[in-house]
Formats: sequence, structure tokens, C-alpha cells
Amino acid sequence: MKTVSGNELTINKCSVLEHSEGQWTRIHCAASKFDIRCITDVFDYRFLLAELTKKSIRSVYTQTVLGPLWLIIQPLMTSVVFLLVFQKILGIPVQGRSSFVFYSSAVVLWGFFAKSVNAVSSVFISNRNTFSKLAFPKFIVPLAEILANCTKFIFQFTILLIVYIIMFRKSFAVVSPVSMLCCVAALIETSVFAIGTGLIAASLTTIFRDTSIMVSYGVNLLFYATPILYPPNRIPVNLWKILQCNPMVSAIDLFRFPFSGSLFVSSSMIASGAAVSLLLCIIGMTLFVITQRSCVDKI
Amino acid sequence: MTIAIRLENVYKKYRRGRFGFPQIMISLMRLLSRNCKGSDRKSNREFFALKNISFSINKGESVGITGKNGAGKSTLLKLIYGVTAPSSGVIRLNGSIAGYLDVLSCFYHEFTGKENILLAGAYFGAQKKYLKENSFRIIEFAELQEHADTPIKKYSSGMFLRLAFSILIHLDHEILFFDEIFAVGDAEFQKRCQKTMKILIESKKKTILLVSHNQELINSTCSRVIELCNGEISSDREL
Repeated sequence: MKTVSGNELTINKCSVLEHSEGQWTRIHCAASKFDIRCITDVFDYRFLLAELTKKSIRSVYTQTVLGPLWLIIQPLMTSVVFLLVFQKILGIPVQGRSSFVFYSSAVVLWGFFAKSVNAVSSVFISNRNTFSKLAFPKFIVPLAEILANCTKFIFQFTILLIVYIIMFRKSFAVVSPVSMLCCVAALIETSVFAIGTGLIAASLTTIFRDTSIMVSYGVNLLFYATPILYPPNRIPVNLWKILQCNPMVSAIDLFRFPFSGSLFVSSSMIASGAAVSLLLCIIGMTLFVITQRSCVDKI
Repeated sequence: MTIAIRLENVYKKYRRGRFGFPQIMISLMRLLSRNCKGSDRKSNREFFALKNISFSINKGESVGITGKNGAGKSTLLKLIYGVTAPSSGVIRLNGSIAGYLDVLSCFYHEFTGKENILLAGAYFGAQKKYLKENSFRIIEFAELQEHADTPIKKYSSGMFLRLAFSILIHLDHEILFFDEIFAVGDAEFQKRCQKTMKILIESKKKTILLVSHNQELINSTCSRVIELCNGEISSDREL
């Protein structure tokens, strides 16, 4: 009981003093639990963001012979397997001209999403050491994970574009401004969705670790609720209502636009997908700001 | 005289025992049943790592913090550095702060010495231009000219320590703290560290917090000693 009243007292005292004494550069007290500075200070630490992004990219490919070639081999092999199993064996039709491009474009974007979500959701667990020994805006770490995956994605996307242009030399419409805009929109929507779900899961892992298991499993399930293996026009009407909430549906379709030449999703579906991912992102960032201060004592 | 650090009635409370699934269920059930006995038991499980700590340190002062294991020395540094928040009380700082609670945490073992200077400096908020300009001096002070392009996983613990210390003193922070950092270095390097610390205190007017069990080191570098015992200040004296 004593400590509780003491706590309240200092909270009041602290907030009063914070306004009156301007000469202090930093004030730590129990009341500053909701400390928005972990996000606003990111700009001051932009060099750390660059360094952590570099570290995250490098950490995967140290002491490998093929190095960044793995970025091409993985989606390539996955697309070939999908092509064999789902088109040749099961006979599921594809959208657009080339079935290989149909699969590989979705595989690349989905790979970016899945890796980002998994990396962000385990941010507190895998960075326990740095978080508990160093004081810096913690939001930089999930941001660096996203940026690192983004860099890999852009590399893969460039290769994909080159392959496509070589395959269909006559149709250079692929790289028109509109289609590039669609790709950028898809990338932004996917990143925002990945940050949102990842941060929600990461914040909850400070209390129970179940969420990081849940997320990696959930991402596997969401794979089937996204038109990657099948074209979106095969989805029955009554299922559309549910699938609309999945931002990846519109993201994948937007991303395929330059390769398939037609958009299946309507603008309202894109809007609802964007709204869902934005909402998740806001929830995730709020939870992150709340948990990041006390996480050191819990993880 | 301006104050660099001021602590007012700082408490830090930790919980004993495991915190996991069963504990969550127990606390949920207690919440639901509003069992008064439960809260008694809860207070038994809590303990204070720091109790009612108040002191202030002037700018340019060098303070040694001593005490037995578990006296709360590292917790005190954690709170001052801002890694974790106090349970109650206020900590005020005037000036930027840097130091190692654990030397390993801000390095990445696959990066070379040079790259790690950038990474560790970035963790302390330094800018790219400043680090690039100073990286030569950092390497020189650490005597790692031949090994600057070697991944630090191949470094010996002494080399590692020299690099860490060199980075810290070349960053332009007003408050520096050292937590048992001198445990590994050889006699020659320890002497050099002490000399550099004296320069930092006397000519650069840095505020220094030094946690150590080495009484001799504290006597030679610090002007004031705060001794902690079971989370409370047992003595605070000038030297």
C-alpha cells in the first residue's frame, strides 16, 4: 500500500518538475512509461538504423558460398515447385500470360511479408541483450528488420523484372509509371501490414511467448487465404467478404498488375485492405510504445 | 557548479521467482476471486533492488560506486543510463550519457573492428561523419592497426576490451560510466586507462561513474565514493 501511494506522489511531482526545470536533458521516472520518444528519436539515430539494417542483411549470408545468390535460388525453386504441383499436376489455371511469372511474383512478395513478420515479432526475444544493456530508441530495431527485408525484396524484384522483360521482349509496358506505382503501393501496404502484426505479436511476447509461435503458424495459414497458388477470380463470392480483410489479397493483386496486365480487385477492396493494415499498424505501435519501457525487466 | 546527475527517492522493485504461464493464471484467478491473502503473498515475492536512493553528482566529478555482489550497483547504472525505468522516484540528467553495462552487447561478432566502431558508436548516438573521422584515432589508441579489418570474433578478450574502451573515450559524451571494465586488461593497458581517465576528468571535465571492486583503482581515480549495501547507500564520502 505504501509503495502505491508513493508512486502516485512521484508521478505528480515528476510531471510538474518536467515543465519547470528546462535545463535537464533527460528525466527518467516511473511516470514516463508511455514514452513516445522511442519513435520520435529515431531520426537522431538514423545512422544506427543504417548500421542495423546492414547487420541484419549481412548476418544471413556470412560464411555462405553462394551469398546473395540465395535470394534468387529460393524463390526460383519455390516457383518451379508450385508450377509443377499446382498447374501441371492439379491443373489450377493461372492469370496472365506466363504461369512462371504468376507464381514467382507472388512468391517474392509473400516471402518479404513472411520474413518481415517473423523478424519483427521476435524482436524483443532476439535482441534481449542489446535492449537490456543499451539505451537507444528501440523502435529502430523492428524498423531495421523491415528495411533489411525491403532491400532483399527490391533486389529480387529487379531480377524478376529483368527476367520478365527478357521473356517478353515485345511488351515493354511492364515498366510503365502506372504499373510501377502499383508495385510501390503493394510494397507499402505489405510493409505496413507486416509492421502492424509483427509489433502486436512482439509486444505480447514480453508477457507470453505464445504469440511468436502463433504468428509464425498464422503466417503459414494466411498463405492459403491469399491468392498465391490460385487466381483471385476463383474465389467464391461468399468467401470474398472474409478475404477482403486480408490486406495481402489486394497487395498481391496490385503487385501482379505489371505482369498480368489486369487488376482483379476493386478500389474499395484496396481501400479496405489498406485500412486494416493501417489500423493494425497503429495498434502495434501503441502497444510497442507501452511495452518497450518495461520489457527489459520482463524478457 | 552545475549538477550532472540527480536522483530523488529512487526505488527499483523486482519480483522474485519465475514469471510465466502458471504465474499469469494464478494472478488472473486472484484478480477474479479478489483474494486478500493473495496480495500478502505477492508482497512477499517482491523485493527492492534499490531503496530510497537520493544523491546528486556535480559536473566534472568522478564517483566510484562500490558494494558487495547484489548491492544494486549495476541496477543503479541501468536506471541512470535509462535502460529501465525506476519503480518510483525521479532521475535527472544534464548531458548525454554513454557506457557499457556489458561490453559484448553493442558489438556484432561477424563485423570487422572498423565496422564495429561504427556500430557501437551508432548505438551511443554518434553520427557517421564523426565516427569516420575518428575511427583512425580509436584504432590507434586500441593498438589494433593490424587487426582493424579482422572480424572481432577472432579477437582476444584483451583486444576486445581495448577496442571497447577506446570507442567510449573517443565519443564526446558528457557523462561516462564504467562497469567492471578493467577486469580483463593487462597491467600496462590498465595503467593507460587510468591515465586517460584522469585526463578525461581533469582537462575535459567529464563526469565519470566507476563501478568496481578494485579499491586501489577507485582511490586513484575518484574524488568521491558511494558505497551501496542491500540497495541502500551505506556511505557517501569524499576522498
